[in-house]
Amino acid sequence: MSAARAHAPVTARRILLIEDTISLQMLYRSVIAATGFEVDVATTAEAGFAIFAATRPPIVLLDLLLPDRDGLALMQDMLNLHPAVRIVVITANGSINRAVEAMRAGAQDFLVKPVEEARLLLAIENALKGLAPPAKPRPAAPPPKTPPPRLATITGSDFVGSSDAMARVQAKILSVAQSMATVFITGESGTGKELCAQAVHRQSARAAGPFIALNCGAIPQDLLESEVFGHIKGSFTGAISDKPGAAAAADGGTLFLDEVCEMVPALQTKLLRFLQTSTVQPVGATRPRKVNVRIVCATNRDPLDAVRRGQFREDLYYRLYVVPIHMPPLRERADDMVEIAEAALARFAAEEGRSFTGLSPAVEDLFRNHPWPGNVRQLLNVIRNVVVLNEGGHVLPDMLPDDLFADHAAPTTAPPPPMPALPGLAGDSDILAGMTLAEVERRAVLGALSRHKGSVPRAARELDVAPSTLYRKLAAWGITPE
Amino acid sequence: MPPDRAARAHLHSTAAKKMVMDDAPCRPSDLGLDAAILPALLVRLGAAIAGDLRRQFAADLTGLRDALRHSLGPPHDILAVARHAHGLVALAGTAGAHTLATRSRLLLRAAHRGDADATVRLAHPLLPCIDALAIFVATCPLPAGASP
Repeated sequence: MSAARAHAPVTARRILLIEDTISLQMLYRSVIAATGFEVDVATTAEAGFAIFAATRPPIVLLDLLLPDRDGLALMQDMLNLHPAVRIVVITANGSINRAVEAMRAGAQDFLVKPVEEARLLLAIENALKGLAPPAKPRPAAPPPKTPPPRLATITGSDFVGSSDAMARVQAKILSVAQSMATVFITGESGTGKELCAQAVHRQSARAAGPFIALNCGAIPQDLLESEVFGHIKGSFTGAISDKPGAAAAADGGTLFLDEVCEMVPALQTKLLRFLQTSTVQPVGATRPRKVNVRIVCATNRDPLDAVRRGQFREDLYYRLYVVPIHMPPLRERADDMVEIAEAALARFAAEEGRSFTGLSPAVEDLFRNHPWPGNVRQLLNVIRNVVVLNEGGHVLPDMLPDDLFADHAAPTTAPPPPMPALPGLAGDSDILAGMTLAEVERRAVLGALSRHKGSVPRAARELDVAPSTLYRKLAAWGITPE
Repeated sequence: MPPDRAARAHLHSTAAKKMVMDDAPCRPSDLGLDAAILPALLVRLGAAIAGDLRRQFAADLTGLRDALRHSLGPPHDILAVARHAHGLVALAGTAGAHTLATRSRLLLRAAHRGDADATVRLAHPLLPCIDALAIFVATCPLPAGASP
């Protein structure tokens, strides 16, 4: 830990790091110092505030859970003393409530531990961008009535969930957003593909430009060309006025093509030409028009499979499939389910004027063990249903829709799936004699399910595979998870 | 036996005894360790800091384990459990022990909602895994030129 230097000059290349775990402090300090910053460190709120008052650093990295004081209270004191300071909070408590609380209190950014080096440096870079030129020292001023302006960040605003899978998605969005590269989002229905596309747009330099979303699967095929590229008045029956089309409307921004694999072949050809030339030619127009558009597309199908089946042009696939982002299904994000449900509960309760206090532990368990075939969208619908039909309090199992577990009986109460008596597998090679590898695998999976009372996520954990792998195998074997 | 291997063997044997003595042993799947992450991090940070950081990291894990066990009681101090779980999420995640980090996050949530039974149930299986992770960290390869 470096000693605080009293009355040290204010410099934009100075950071105060307040973190009580010494090894993490060493780690963050080393990463930050390598980029040329001077780093002062403190392990307690008291020591941190003393250094802050003496050095007035423009940026503070603040652990929210300190041994002697709550980090948010410390942040408030620092903002009162030096309103222009940019405070990046770091915490292992990645709940949506904590993030919202921190951002409302004036934090510049919210990082969830473990913090990747790139994410840490990006947060500092963003904080620097928001600073006034360092040559002009800022006199102390009363606290602003509204929190200082800050750059949009993914965490705490767009996505709910602190699972490793979502952290990887967010890191990828942040790393790709600033480029012009085409982003291809895959994932099952209801996993948040459009939310991901919006996040790419909002994090990009074109955030001030338009974000135009077009669902290629929802528009009649004969209107699709007109919807994408526009038309001129009178170019066909019903074209009663000029229409610019989504590609032109997205000029300077982002065009999101959802369900892109549903696009008819003729339009795929036009889309390919559009990507090659950056020009659009509305139906009936004689001249093409140059536009500056970034393409983000999405599908819930396997795009390569669509290519193999001849439903999607291979050259277009390679044009579009530049930076793939896969949105994980909810069943692979068991840790996020409760966070998402609680965030939705708070939002919907506010909208409907109800007073819910949270999920009961029994409901949390039910949610964690449900396969959620409709993903986040299904979970949100369930919460909406609960809020509309109940007055408030804790969400209890009997408040959940009756049909929620109709196809997937709750694993905590359901009997294990039907299966033959299972011999142990390890250490007894005779038992395995004569079995095919597929049969050994099937018995291992069913054995794990039996030990975990039919809970697929728990069985998957024991077998060290993703739950989706087990769901696929069970479906192939004609077994319905219970 | 070279000193490094001897030290490693001693650590493993001591920790193995402790693990069995204290709680059920930590299975690899309980830790979910990506063993490449920490060595790669130490290489990126450089030889000048790697040795010190490795030592401090292992010491923080050991200290956290003792503190967590102590806070489980009696008397049960749920605020302290929350604080230690918070630290463990970060340390385990940084060291690449993804499953341990996830389980620590569940412990943190249980502590935040004041569920003492759940914190005890969730915390005890973590203790041998913290030991196992501390051993991994303490014996993790250092970049060339780093002093242990």
